[in-house]
Amino acid sequence: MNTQLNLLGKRLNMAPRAHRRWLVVLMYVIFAALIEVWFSMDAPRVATWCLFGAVALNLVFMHLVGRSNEASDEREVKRWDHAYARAYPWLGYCLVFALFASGLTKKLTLISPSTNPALQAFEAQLPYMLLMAAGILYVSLPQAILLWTEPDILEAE
Amino acid sequence: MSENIGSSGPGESGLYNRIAVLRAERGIGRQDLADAVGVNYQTIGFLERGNYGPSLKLAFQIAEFFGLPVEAVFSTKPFRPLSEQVYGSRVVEAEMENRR
Repeated sequence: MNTQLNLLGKRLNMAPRAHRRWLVVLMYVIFAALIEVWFSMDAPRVATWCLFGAVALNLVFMHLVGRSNEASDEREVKRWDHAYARAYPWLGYCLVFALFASGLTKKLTLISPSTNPALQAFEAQLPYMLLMAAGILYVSLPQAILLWTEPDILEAE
Repeated sequence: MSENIGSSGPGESGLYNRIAVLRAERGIGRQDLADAVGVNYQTIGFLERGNYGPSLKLAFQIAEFFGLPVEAVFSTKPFRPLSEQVYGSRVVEAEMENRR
């Protein structure tokens, strides 16, 4: 795991777990804001920029934790396996909720149709938002779990 | 607390070890040890703090690096301080001599 993050020319120390947890919270707040902006502003250009933003944010995660196939030793392989094992149930929940929210499974739908126009618009977009969230979780959640769970990192000496 | 002097852990791994003591004693950096046994230096840090329990292979590699039996480096019970183990019996013998 990389212990230094260069953000706009400023070097941030990511060795302490608390710093990494703040980063993860910040990242997902930004992800949520991007999804909200995407769906609330019905403009393809905004959508494109949001997509680029999500990819850029994910690159920050990738820079810090690398890729699972780059694990250099037995502990890292175990940590990646653990992260994937914890991440995939959440991905599954997102997809299942998207299926229910989509109304494709009429008999199983959890959300009863609303009479409020604003809520109706939200209900119409909810499956797509959940699918987008599932996509973001698919590419970022294992890395986020690693950043969140890895204890404070000691210096090489 | 005093039982744990001279060893790290057990932390999450449930295993005590003397890696930090042995490294300090021989002036070996985490990176040097990591290079010698083929792991990331961060893994050595996590081992020292007991955050990670090594595989049998890695435990033997580390013990071989220090030229010690594996039970001298890793244990499921707290280690006695090295100084006490090395000099403890001599101190007791010297005290017995003095009493005579």
